[in-house]
Amino acid sequence: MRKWLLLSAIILATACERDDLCLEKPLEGAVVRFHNAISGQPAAVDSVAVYYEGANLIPATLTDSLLLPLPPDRDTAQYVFEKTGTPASNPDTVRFFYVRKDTFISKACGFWMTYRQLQAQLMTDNDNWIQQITVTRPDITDDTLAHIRIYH
Amino acid sequence: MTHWRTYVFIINLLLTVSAFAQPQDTTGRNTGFSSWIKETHLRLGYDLGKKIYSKLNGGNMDAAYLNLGYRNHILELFAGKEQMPFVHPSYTFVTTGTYYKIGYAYNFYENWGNMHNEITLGLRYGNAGFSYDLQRIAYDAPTPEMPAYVWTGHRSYSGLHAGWIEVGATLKAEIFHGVYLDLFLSGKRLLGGSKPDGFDLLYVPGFFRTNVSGFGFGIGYGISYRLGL
Repeated sequence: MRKWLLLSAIILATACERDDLCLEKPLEGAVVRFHNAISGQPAAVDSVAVYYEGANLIPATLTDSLLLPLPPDRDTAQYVFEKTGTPASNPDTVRFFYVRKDTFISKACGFWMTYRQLQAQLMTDNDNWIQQITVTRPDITDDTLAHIRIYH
Repeated sequence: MTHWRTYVFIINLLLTVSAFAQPQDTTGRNTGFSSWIKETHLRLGYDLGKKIYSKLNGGNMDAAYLNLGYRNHILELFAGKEQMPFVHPSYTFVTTGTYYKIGYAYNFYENWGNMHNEITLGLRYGNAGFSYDLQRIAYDAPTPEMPAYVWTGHRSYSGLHAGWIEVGATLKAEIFHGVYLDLFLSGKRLLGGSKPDGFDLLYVPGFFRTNVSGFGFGIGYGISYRLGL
């Protein structure tokens, strides 16, 4: 009985390789920071919600920064930024263009998509709460500093 | 592919040489050569285990081996051709390539009478040349609102090489006249290998799956025919 237990313990131990588990997580998206259009200083939006393809991607939050996920299956993505709260404004559409490239992470994790050469285009209508949108860092390689600045 | 021609040539050469064996010369005495040739044998084998495993897993493996024996010393030669898919939840690639192994083994089993069963232990060096064809990558959806993306196509990494060293034990038992069932057990370690650009060395023909430690373990079986006097 004890010999069988020892054998099964050895088999179990050797069955799990260190490189079988993916312990890392990919980057969540581009860092978006909101700034006041007049002063240029960081300014929170009360409140901003983001919609992608009709679905609510980010629920309305009072914040001055967002993590915007980018889709892996296309080279352009269109998001709708809605400002709830006062003063009222109709939702603004922003289109992003980027170059996708996958990188191999490890045997367990496989490939992750990376996004580079980011460009932003604000769709203007007669009522924009977003005044301007600029890309400060076009290559998404980390999630610390801002990639996109939205002036409102 | 080039490995195959070399081994067919070697096998042909050795079979021709062993056909010239004569037990006695014209004076009735055993000459040096004939007494020597009585102590040598040839074993030609086919790896059945690899064939069955590969067919059950959507690929193909052809492997054969040749043993040149003198008394209890054996020179082992192996060669194989593989085309095997590697299926991971996130990606799939197909390895295509060939390998050879060369080694020395010693038979520790003392046979009774005219039997020629063996229990051998030996050391081998293996080398493979191969290429990968990456055919599917699945990218996770970053959020539930976005669809996951699965790419299919062909991305090839060619001109890859890897070498390894192997400690192998074999049990050879005669099933019927001259035909043996061979069981293999081996522990191996990858020595070096070219890492493909933007990918990793995940599978080596002849070695099987690689891992972080570089060590591997193998079990197999084959069928062989013994030519000897």
